[in-house]
Amino acid sequence: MTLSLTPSDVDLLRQMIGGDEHAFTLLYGRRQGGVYRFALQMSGSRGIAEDVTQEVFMVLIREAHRYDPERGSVAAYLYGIARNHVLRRMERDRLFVQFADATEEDHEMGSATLVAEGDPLGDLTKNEMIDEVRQAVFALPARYREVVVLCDLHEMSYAEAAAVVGCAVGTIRSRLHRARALLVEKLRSAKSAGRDRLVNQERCFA
Amino acid sequence: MNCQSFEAAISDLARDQMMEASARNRALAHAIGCQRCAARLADERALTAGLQKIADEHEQAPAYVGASLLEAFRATVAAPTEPAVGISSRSHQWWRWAAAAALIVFVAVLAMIAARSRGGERQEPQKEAVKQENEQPAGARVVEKKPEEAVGHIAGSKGPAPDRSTHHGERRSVRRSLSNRDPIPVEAADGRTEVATEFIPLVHSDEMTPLDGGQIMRVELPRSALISFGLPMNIERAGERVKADVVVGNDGLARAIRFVH
Repeated sequence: MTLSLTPSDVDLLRQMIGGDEHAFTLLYGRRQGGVYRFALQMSGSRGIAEDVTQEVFMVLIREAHRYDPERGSVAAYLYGIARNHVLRRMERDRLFVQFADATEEDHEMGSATLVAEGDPLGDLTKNEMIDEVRQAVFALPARYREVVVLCDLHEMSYAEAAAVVGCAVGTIRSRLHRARALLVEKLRSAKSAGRDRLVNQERCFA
Repeated sequence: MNCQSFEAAISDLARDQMMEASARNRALAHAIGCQRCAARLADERALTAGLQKIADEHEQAPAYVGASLLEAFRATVAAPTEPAVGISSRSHQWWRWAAAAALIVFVAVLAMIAARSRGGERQEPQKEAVKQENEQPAGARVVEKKPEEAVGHIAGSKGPAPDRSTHHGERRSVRRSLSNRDPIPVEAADGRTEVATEFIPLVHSDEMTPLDGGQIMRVELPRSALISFGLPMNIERAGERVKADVVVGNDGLARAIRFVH
């Protein structure tokens, strides 16, 4: 028989409501990184990420008793608060990174156009390519960006992401599929634009 | 498997998600035979690898965020919840009374203004009487009845019932006399000595019932209210408040007011 020495988030939350500072410190240490990174990956702003992290845990301090275990995990609860705050902040600050046009046409883009045209993306793990990927994620519309951030960057299951976003699992699945297709398209466009720039420069030097 | 079903499964395939082994094998077999789908899968896998690199970045919130949150937590825990609720409810009760008193004073002032405007329409003999009264020396005519000096209940007719025979001119005379007279020292409820004006009648109506009891309520008013009652005001202290005692009859009608310093 093994005993778990690590208290669950719910246990910590319960102790925290009772005024246990150590429980709060443990819970904060366990969850602040995810909340901070989520806000950072959604907004692209460290300032917003810090503010959102602060606001999320302030809500937890003030209204921890409002957490309902039946509606999802503590992590999902915190991500849900963070999502609301970050979307509100982004709406207020209009802080959208202009990478490529993320128009409604993109949203409706069918998978029929998402075919590889003999121009593979290649290695996106190179340092110079990671920034391209990051920018492509920022350029996604918020409803697609959040599922990429939750499912791909935070490795949440569809069900967990659905609890955070507050929608059906099927919606998360279809949004993720579209979001990834959009990312591939954007990265391919960026790659061909970069190659064209290179060719033009070579012609100028020729 | 055709290209359409392959497209539906491609995200799970590229992200190495749990899926049926047979479906996975069929999708992989399709990719071997279809060059276009094979390229799509390669792109999706490249994307997964790129996103994984970003996911591996373990940035944390700055330490000061945690420190300030810890302080906030300590402050919340230290704050005595129960007494705070009690204080809050008591203060709400106090504010309710203050708001009611302010409302009474406001209504009384309105009534006074209305009475003043009615006074302008009175007949000539009354105007003559006013003239005569105004010709009398300042301070010669003051409120005849002794005002209630302590804040609290008024017993029967001992209260500062405004003279029913008073009229507009008389009140003006009272105001002038008040502004010229020295304030009266009165003893407050807590035993401290305060300086107060005479009680100034607020309502001058023949239909008003005699005061058969009531309460004196301590309120605060903007200092500019002094002007409304014909009293001098230091313009430099216009933003401050002034205390006042309002006589409220048992019928709920504000009868008189005096300003306290």
